[in-house]
Amino acid sequence: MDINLNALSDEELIAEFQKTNNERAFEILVGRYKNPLTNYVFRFLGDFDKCMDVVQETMIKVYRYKDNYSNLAKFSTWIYTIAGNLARTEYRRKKRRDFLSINDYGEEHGTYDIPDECYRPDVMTDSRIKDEIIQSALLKVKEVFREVVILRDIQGLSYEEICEITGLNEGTVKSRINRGRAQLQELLKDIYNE
Amino acid sequence: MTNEDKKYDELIGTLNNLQQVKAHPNFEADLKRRLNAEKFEKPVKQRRRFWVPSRLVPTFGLAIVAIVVIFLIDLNSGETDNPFLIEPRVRKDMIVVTNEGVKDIPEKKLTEKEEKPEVKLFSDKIDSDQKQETRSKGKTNRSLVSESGVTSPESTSINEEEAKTEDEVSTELATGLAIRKSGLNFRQIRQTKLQKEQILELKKKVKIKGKTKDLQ
Repeated sequence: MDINLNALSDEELIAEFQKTNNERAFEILVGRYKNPLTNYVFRFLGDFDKCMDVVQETMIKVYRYKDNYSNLAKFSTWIYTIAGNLARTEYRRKKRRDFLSINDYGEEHGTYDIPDECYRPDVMTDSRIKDEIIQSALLKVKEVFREVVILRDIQGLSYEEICEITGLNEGTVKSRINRGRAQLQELLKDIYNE
Repeated sequence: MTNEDKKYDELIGTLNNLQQVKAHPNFEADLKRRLNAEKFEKPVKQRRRFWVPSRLVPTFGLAIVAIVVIFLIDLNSGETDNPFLIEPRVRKDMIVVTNEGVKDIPEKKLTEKEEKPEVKLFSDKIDSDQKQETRSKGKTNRSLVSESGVTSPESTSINEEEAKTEDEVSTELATGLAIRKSGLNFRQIRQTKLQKEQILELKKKVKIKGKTKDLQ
């Protein structure tokens, strides 16, 4: 039974979960999406703990509102949409908190929680500093541009998928990606000069 | 790959090579725990939620504030909308009577037109009264009036002046500061010098007669 479930596509698994309430199908989906979603949300928020909360909340929403999913859309776009919405909400909440906080020293000195070193990719690679610089540069890019740049250049999704996730038309998505890239390149020009 | 992608080729490569951030190994366990916690949470009914003191207190507070505000607003509106304090609308179709037109008419004409009939009426009344008096007493004031050459209303003022005591008359004549009927907007009789002398002579005669009577 398990082997069969593992061989199923995302859409088939969610359909199975909807019909039979088979929690094993849900677990397989969680296993497939926990890391991509963690990567996406972490690059967007820059806070690992908050990122984990958001991803878990996403999974809970999938579990609770499984019946809201329809086969018309891809499961990946549906789950990315949920995660993106939650990440955006969390990011705005964080911004409000930082704005109201007495210990706020501005964007330049903004501290984002670093995940446990065991799970930090920048610790395990030689390009640790470079990764940190890129992450901090990503956080400086405007929210709407950052989201699409991450989805396109880090997650490797197609324009169509991004359009579905964000609910924007292709022209807007492409324009935002280009503007985000331009901002990012401007911020990272010192790295490229080296 | 589009032209834009080629333009940012280096950047895209850098972003692609970023290491993937992975969820921690306890992710599934934590998720299960959270899901189970949600399952065993007793669903609280909406009605019960409403009657929780933490909800009741602010709602009651808001309600009281709203009532007070409405009450205050109503009072204010009552003051402003009091019909007795609002001036009535000026109706354009109504004819407005003012005294402005009256001022334009010369005063002399008015007095001539208005006073004449009154004087006539008044003189007729007095004549009739005097006729009655003559019938009863056999004496008339008309003779005095005719002598002085003054109209009947003026004669009344003379009678009143005569009613005054002699001392008052003397003080009036001496000082001229006493309050006279001329100051009260009554018609004034201007006596000639001859008339005044005649009156004084008559008064003196009366006084002399009075003294002689006393002596006798």
